[in-house]
Amino acid sequence: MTRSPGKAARLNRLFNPKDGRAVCVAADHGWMSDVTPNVMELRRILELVVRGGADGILISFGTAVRHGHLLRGKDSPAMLIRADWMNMPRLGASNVSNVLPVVNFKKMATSRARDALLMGASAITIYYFIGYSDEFEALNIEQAADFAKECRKVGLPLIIEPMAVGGMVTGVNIAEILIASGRIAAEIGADALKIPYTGDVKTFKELVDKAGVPVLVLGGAKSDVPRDALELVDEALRAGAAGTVFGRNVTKAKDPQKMVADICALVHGGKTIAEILGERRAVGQRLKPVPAQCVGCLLCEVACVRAHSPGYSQTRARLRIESPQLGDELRAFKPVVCTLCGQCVEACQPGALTIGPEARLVLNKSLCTQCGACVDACPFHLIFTEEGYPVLCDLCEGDPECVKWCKRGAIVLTEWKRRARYVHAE
Amino acid sequence: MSMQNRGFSNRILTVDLSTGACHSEELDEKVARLYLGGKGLGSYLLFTRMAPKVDPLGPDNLLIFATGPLTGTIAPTSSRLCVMAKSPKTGTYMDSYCGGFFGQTLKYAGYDAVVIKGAAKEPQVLVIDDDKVQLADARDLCGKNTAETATALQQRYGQDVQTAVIGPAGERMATLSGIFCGLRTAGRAGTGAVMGAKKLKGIALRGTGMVQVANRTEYEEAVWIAHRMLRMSSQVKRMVDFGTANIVLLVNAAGALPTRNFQLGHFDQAEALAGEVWRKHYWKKDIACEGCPIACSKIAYSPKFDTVIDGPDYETIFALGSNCGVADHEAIIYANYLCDMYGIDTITVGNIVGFVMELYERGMIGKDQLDGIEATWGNGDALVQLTDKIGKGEGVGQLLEKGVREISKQFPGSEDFAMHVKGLEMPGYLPRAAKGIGLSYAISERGACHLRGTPLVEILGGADPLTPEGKAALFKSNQTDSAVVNCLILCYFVKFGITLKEVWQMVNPCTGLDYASPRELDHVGERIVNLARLYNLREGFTSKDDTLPKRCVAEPLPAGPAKGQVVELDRLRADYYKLMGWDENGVPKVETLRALGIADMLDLM
Amino acid sequence: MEIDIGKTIRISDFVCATDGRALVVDTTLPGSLGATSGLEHVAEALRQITDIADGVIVNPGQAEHHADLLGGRRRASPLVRVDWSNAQRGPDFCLPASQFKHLFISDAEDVLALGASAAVASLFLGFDDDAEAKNIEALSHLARECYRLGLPLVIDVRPVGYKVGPGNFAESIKLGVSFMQELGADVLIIPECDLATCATIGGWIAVPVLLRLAEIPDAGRAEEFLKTGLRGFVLGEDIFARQGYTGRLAELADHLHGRSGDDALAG
Repeated sequence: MTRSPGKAARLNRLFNPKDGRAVCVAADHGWMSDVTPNVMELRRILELVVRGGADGILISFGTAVRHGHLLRGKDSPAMLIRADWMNMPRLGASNVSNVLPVVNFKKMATSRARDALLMGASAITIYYFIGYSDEFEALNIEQAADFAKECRKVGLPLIIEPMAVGGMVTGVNIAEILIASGRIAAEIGADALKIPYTGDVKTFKELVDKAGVPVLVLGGAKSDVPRDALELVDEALRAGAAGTVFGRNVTKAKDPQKMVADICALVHGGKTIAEILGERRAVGQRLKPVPAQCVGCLLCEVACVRAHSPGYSQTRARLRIESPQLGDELRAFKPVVCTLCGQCVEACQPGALTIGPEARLVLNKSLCTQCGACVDACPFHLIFTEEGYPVLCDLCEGDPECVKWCKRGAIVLTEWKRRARYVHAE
Repeated sequence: MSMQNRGFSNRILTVDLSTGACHSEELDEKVARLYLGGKGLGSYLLFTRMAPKVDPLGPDNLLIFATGPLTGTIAPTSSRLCVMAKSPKTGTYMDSYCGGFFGQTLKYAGYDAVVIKGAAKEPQVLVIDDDKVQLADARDLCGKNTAETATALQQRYGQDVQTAVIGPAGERMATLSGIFCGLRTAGRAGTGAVMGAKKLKGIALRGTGMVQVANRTEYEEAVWIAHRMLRMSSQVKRMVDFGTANIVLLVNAAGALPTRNFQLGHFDQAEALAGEVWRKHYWKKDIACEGCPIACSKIAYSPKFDTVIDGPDYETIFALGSNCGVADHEAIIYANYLCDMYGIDTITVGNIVGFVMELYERGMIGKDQLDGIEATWGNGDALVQLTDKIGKGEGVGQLLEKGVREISKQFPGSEDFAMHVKGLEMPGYLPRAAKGIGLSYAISERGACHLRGTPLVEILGGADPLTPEGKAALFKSNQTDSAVVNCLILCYFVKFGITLKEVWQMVNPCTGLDYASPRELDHVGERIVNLARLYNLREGFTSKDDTLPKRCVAEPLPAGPAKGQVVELDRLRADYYKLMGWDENGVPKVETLRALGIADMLDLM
Repeated sequence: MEIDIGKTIRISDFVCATDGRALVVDTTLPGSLGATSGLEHVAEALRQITDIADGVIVNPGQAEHHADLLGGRRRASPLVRVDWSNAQRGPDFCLPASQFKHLFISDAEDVLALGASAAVASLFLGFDDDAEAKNIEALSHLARECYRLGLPLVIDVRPVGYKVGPGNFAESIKLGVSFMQELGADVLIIPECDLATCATIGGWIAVPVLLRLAEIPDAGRAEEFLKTGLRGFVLGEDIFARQGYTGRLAELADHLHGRSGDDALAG
């Protein structure tokens, strides 16, 4: 692939020459979206993103004027300028804050490539919306081509952001549209893409393959679960993406600096998500219900049965959600889980039940007399029997499925206060 | 190959209430492949097992409870239940859905579908306890409201049973009555009346079995992604925060919030009805259906009436609120509560009250004819009083409960603003302000309905709502999409976070049916839409019934963002028929049916 | 015909100065449809044909990205497409077009800077009157720019609108080539049509006319067309989907330029 020297030099600033990858952060939301904390505290967040080690930051022209100096320094992130404007965040259901709703989709080219270049930018980013109407797509193509022309002239890389948005986009065609639009953008003159994840590795791989230019995956709306964003990055990288342009999942994160560093560890550092998040099997921990977080979806019960049997059911779960009766709906849901209180162990005369060294209930079947004392002893009535033997929460070998699936955090792990008499002697 | 352990329970139960007999049969793999479950399986059973032109309130109507292959698994929103029958309200095909826990429990009990035929002589309760199926006397439950009935069934058969019951309105076969499953309702087009006609007061259900899928590892990978995508959707987040009421203001901004019996598309007090207000002052808690990360159900408390309800949702807010000009939150909560207890549909009630209020304001009906109720716009007390009359079927309620179409027959000249299609009252999007939505109301197989592929994207930002251009295609793709979702059965709202592609990724490892692409899965939806069409044609409906009230097509909207608009229905309908491969009379062409693999259904016409 | 020296030299980059013939391959369909079969990887595809074809039509983005594969002695010269349309988005495409759109994505100066030997643009016929008038206006502007810069202008005549059917297809082509010759095009591309139409055009139009074909013709078939006075072929994106297309393309090139197979091997 050939490039003009201007484009080559600037792309080298953005993509780490060692691995050809880039971790970028989009912080242009105040230019189009509603005024959320990540917009109002932009300066602080930008500083954190720089410290986190991002390779690029996407900002508006005005932000570049005001805060561009934060990007001084050879190791600072490259400046990417958002050169257009659109009203999607205020359009229809995208308008999450009901801020000055709009009914029709609009997009304008607002900066010139030359302006961005003089500002010190390493690239500009513009949208390519496809799927709303033929008319609107044509407008997008026309504006993109205009930028492409100017970028070629001044040697500034152009990042096009294809977005499949609109009524004609369905599950039947969304992956095909994204795959096609990535290539169309490259044909027009994109030097790299910023594009949504197609939702699976296979189609995203096809997208990357057919685009022919480096592909940066975008993050979309923020998840309350940081792992979600990392999973998405991981899958995109497996599909061949050259990196990320994450916005809200970084700028709205509790700790934007850490989030950037985590993504960098994944993109540049070759770390796994488990390594980054310090995930390990629970040892010395127990389940803890958080009733205020529970909405009674019972996913935990299904997940529990699933972990111990070949299928899905709500019968024979080793935990339970107590739902209020009809007419008593104001009462809170109550997750009832094994807290390793040890009463079953204490009740077990033959000593068949113990709490093992990793703080899990262990049943020694050969010692069990099927007396049922543990069933009666459980203060939460969680123990039941199958073929005479008690069935108890085994914490899924330290990776409890109920905790894994309950992303609301209504069941969490907490430190188990070890009581010597329950611990099985090794 | 058997569909056992491939998402299906592989068993269809038939209960004959006339004889008390029941039997079960296996599910044919061919049927599963062509129709999946839920709406598809139900449509197939309805079309092939019900004689044409039966009396919907007679013993020959079939009441079908169906689940889908994803029901009861770990997929998001997979708890749903599909209820099907011939509608006593419209005389058309009828499908209705509800969340809660009944659907998945039916699956755990081991049934893909339960077909109820015949009619009992005395009120009965159907008790399904896994394999054990029996009928029990329910005379003592007569007249009890939905909550009382459900509670009585739980006392009788165990706190752990799931219930599907009707209220007093269903018992007297009022066509606006629904079937209530806990806090959730299969509400529209008269499901409750069909159950009432069969003298079935309720179903108590226990299911302790298990659902297995064809390839669990792949299935759970796909499910995990679907859950994640829902968490990463800002629209879902908005639903989590404000339920369906999150759209009140944006619909109002588009000029599509039906106000004062669909006269206008914007309500000057819409701000008061926004989700944010409900959240701040009335909603106390969120409730989710099984496996649902959205939890759109909000539990509201009205101090004035000391009443707790699940709601109000957007449709109820429009129907009992803006459509009646009412912005009195507690009146809306209480009217919603009354609807729930009597067992009737809030959308229909709100339409009826709005229609009555317009009659009243025009001087076409007087206070004396309304049992002394002053049905002025915005009168919350009148809303509550009229709802009570309708729910009880007393006094003027005897007329009103019959619905807008029947009421308008008593008031010549009112037909033009009787807002219904095929007898079913309209949901909460003003057709003149969203042309594709107008088309969908006209076409929908069960009358004016917003859940049979109505392109709500028009208002949610997906297209210019005022142009008819491209709207037939938009409706068609939404229609087939939602038909598939209703087969599986997932909730309508998953579309705010995932698409048919992610659904397809789940369906294949679940069923082992290996649809080659999302497009092939979409064909299942197209097949079902055509079968539903054949059903209605067989019942004698024609393209003349694919229409809208005169207000929508000939009365330019007087004000608001869509000022001056009418629905260009003729053009839209013609575009749509053509796109569907139907002739100009709306009859599917033989080659269309052949391409969908259901030409043999013509033998049953 | 009087043209300036810039045009003369650049036309000869892809229309052979000795025999006046040209073999051109079009790779621009992915600009509208995304990667088409065989064109998933542009560089690979260009490598396959660059030593065989006289010219290759590329979109501006690819002209820039793959300049190293194009131009120079015995290699295909880049002819850069300056327009974009959704005309080929039929029902098979994931997003079928419901409204015809045609617009310009580049200009004469831009493609000249990209190293192009010509600018390529389309004349669409048979859509709404407005679209046609705008198309003519834009092409006229482009023609003047090209004249000023000494850049050859290749016009792709495409009678594909809803008003065109079997009954008026040939006449539409004739209308198009007539307009475009008057407009000042330097090379014309016409869609596949019967020999009689080709003969009429070949005998009347002064500028080189190339015939667009979906399949690579064998020598006999190619000769039939060449006898009508047409000066060569433009092969569409479809050829990349076929096995062994390079061999057949090379045979066609040899036939077109009167080389024997042995010469080609030696060459």
